Amino acid sequence: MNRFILRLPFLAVLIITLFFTQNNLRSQQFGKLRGFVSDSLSGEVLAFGNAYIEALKIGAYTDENGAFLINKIPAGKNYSVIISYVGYESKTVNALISSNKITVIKVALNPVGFAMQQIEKIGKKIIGKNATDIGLERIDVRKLEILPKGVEADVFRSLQFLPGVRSTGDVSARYYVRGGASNQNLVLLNGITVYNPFHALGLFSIIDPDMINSVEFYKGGFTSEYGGRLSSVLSIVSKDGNKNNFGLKASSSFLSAKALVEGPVPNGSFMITARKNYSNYVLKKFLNDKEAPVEFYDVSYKLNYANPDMLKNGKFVFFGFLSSDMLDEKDPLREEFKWQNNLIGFRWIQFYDTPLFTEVGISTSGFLGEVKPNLSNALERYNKISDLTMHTDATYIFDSKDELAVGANFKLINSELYLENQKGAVSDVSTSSGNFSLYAKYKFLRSENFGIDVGSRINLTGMNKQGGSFFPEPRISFTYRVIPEIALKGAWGIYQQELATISDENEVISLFEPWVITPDYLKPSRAIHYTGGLEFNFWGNTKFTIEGYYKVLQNLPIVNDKKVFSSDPDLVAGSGESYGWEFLYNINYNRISFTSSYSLSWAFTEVDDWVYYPKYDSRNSVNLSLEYNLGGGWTASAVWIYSSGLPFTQLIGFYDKTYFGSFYDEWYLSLDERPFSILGDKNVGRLPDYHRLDLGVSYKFALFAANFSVDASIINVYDRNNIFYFERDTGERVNMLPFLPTATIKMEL
Amino acid sequence: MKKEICVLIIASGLFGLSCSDDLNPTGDFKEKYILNLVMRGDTTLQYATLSSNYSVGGFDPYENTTDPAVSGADIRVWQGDSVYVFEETTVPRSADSRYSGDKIAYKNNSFALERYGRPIEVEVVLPHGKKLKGYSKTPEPIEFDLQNALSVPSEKDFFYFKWNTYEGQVYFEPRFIFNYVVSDGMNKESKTKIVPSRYHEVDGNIEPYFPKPSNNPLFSLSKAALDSAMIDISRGNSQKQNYTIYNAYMEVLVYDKSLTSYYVSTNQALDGFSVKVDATDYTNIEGGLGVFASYRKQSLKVKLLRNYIESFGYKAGVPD
Repeated sequence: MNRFILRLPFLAVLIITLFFTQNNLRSQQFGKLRGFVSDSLSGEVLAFGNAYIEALKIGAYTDENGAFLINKIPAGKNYSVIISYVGYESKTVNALISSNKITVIKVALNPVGFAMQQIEKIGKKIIGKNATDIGLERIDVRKLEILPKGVEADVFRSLQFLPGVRSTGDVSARYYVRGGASNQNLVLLNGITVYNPFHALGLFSIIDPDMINSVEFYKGGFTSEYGGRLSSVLSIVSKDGNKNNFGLKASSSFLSAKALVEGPVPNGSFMITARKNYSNYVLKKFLNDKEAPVEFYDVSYKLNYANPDMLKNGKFVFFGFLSSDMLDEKDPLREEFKWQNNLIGFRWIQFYDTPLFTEVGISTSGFLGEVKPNLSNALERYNKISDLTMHTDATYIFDSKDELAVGANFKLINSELYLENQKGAVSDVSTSSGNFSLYAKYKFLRSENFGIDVGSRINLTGMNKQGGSFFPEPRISFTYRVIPEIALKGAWGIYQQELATISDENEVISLFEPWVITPDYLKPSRAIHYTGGLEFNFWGNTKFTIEGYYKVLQNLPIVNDKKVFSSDPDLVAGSGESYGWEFLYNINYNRISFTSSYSLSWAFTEVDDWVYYPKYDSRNSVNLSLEYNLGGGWTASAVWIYSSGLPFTQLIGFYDKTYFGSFYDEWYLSLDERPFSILGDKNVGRLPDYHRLDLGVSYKFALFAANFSVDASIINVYDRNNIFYFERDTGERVNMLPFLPTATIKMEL
Repeated sequence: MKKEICVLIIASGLFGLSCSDDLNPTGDFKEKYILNLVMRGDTTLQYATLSSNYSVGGFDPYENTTDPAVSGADIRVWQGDSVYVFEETTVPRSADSRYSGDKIAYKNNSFALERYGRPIEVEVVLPHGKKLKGYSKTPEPIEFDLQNALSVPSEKDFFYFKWNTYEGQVYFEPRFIFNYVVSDGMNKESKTKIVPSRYHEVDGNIEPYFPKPSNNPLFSLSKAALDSAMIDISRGNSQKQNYTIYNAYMEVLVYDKSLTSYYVSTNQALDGFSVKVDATDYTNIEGGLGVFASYRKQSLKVKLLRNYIESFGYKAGVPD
């Protein structure tokens, strides 16, 4: 096995050489077309748009940089290239293709009124025929604006509408993907890991939707450029900022006020966003009317510089993000809380005169979470994690349409943790380690009806001693279009995670998940994904997919609830298994867009030979969403969510527990005894089913020189009493969000 | 357009009735017994309580008014080769107890903690023969850091008492006291004043702060708190010369590991906002619930300076 792995680089070089040779031989009569697609008003790149040459019935998607490349175009001719993007007027441009050259076009699309937003991407059926995209969802940022916003539009909460993605209730933006825990989800902002992407006790994500350009979400089976997590990848790319004009957007909801400033700079653009909460009225609704004086803000900034005189087809991006949450009741008898994320990154993106694209980047990401007890009974907790990451990626597209992508990633991580558990045992761990990994993948896309992405990630060094070095993570994803209307898709892969969180699964509101490098007494956790599915495209405006998955999780770090002594391990090894089926149906007809999904799933966790359902295991879930463009600037939407009951641990009786006060007193003469619940086997019971209907209406209008958008939503229209949890000592039922009307107003200059 | 909005609103009205499902959070009842026995290192009088669990028809455990205390059990504690047998007795209940009559308890008046770090063991034989067992280890000693305040006050605003422990991460319950005698010529009354660590403001009021048990091997005493305590003892009495102040003591109760774990599980919370559905319950009783543990008291004599005592008008009962 190892000898084979050692030979892999040589085989890769051989394959590359062969294909380059093939490329050169064939490229004599052909040319290539590279394009960059952007918004005509702002200059913002348009990711995941379509470029299509109708005469040849070939095309390509734009990537996250708004770039596309179409290979193997017969040279010496002028071609009409149709560029299309949802919500924009399609544009046809002529391109003269020269032999053995890359012709470059830059296309700016004009945004259209809201009434036209359901235009289908032209050529979509042909371009995407063999895309190896099982498990991949591209979240339409415009859809985020249409769906009922609730309190704040939130990409994390929008994920929960997807089949296979679960939450444990209205009160948390945490999500669980295909039976995996929330700490198995990788969240990337401009390629930088975000360790704690939550505001306000986990109620909202820190990602302001106004800053988002594109969102990609892998529910599983993700390919080898991504590593470090077991279950899912959420990759968010922020906007570059308006390259043509200065602009200001300001908006306010019941929770926060925010602003976005953007504009051109010489050879580039900038964008700055800021958001700050100003009211806790809504937070109280989330927290069962409990006062939580949380103060939070987030700030992001991005600067792009692309000077063709200095570097042709190159771009430099400098990005930063800071979020901070404080909870301080200004009372020495109460504890204080602090959470911070701090991200800074620099990237150099370069397109060459050959079909080669490279990216080099360096970034840091830090998270700090702290609970200061002051004079309260709260337990002290402190967690700080910081990483330094350097990466380089290169993608080469062959004439045959095949793609080769290689990359290297070097990450140094330092983690500090201090916490005392509820049995008085202390964890005081400080570790530093590094991971150097390489990946290579080859996408066979030469066949119109078949595409396969084969690759592997190789960890040359491990952060965890038991992980060892040279651990390969091979991955395959394929699509086979059986007939034009039906595609068979599948994926398989091995995944490794060397970071763990010490988070107690029994906490339904968890303030933060402290991150640590997986301790050396445990092996790094690993997962194997098996995914298969069918995609049906019988009509141009509908899509129906069925996906089945099976996931095996090994060496899961699970909080050791038997830790009594400080020398006891914080984590013990467990395992997990999950499987299920997901069905998704989407139709866009005229002014209506309707999406429905159903998932049937099972999840299990095993610790100490005891198998139980994790807290996010729900057997059935249904999501229905309807968007209706009423015209005249009005849109309406409705979302109905159903999921069968989540597991909980039943009460099997009470006993009078003694609470000792001071032992300087005669404790036995003034016994403080209070009822305490005795629990049965873990998670054997099931809570009642959850369902909720949200409605939203939005109106856009212009007034003087400004564009306004007013959104009104009603959460839980029929005031369903969805149970959140019950107090174990009193049996009191605590429900999730009640009927709650909210509104947001946005102004754009 | 307005018509369409109206349709949406009416449609939503169809769901206008609030609804919810009933939930029965209870499973099958299983009988369990609870032993609480903390061996005190500052006395020979030891008490144990023994009770059973119970169920109620609904969710409210306060509906149970039947005393769950267990009578007729045999409780024995072993320390080294010695065995100590507990006898059944009763202790008074608090006035707000939902149970009537005195509480059944078990006591022994001859147990004294022997050496440090020694194993102790309890065995309970219930009336129907079921056994409960518990093991613990008496606390290791602490050593006061004598480089710190042995005589107070000095010029500092705070005095720190530190100690070292051989056993990490056990809890300590510290307090600072001084002894004094009030004499009115006819009678003498010995008293002890517990000095707060400091005073702080709570809701606009100045309140004393006494440190709670914690794993922090340090006690800080503010000079202002000591001043206030000195003033406090004779508040309302102008005859300051009737007060004689003697030595002060830094006292520390050292919990053993079992008592530490039990104390933390019952008195400490993660924080005021985390919600945990399966609350932590610690027990070291085999076959049941509750705790079997011990603590020991250690003291450090601290000299209050004569001129400091006299500055309040009191007599100093300490040598120069």
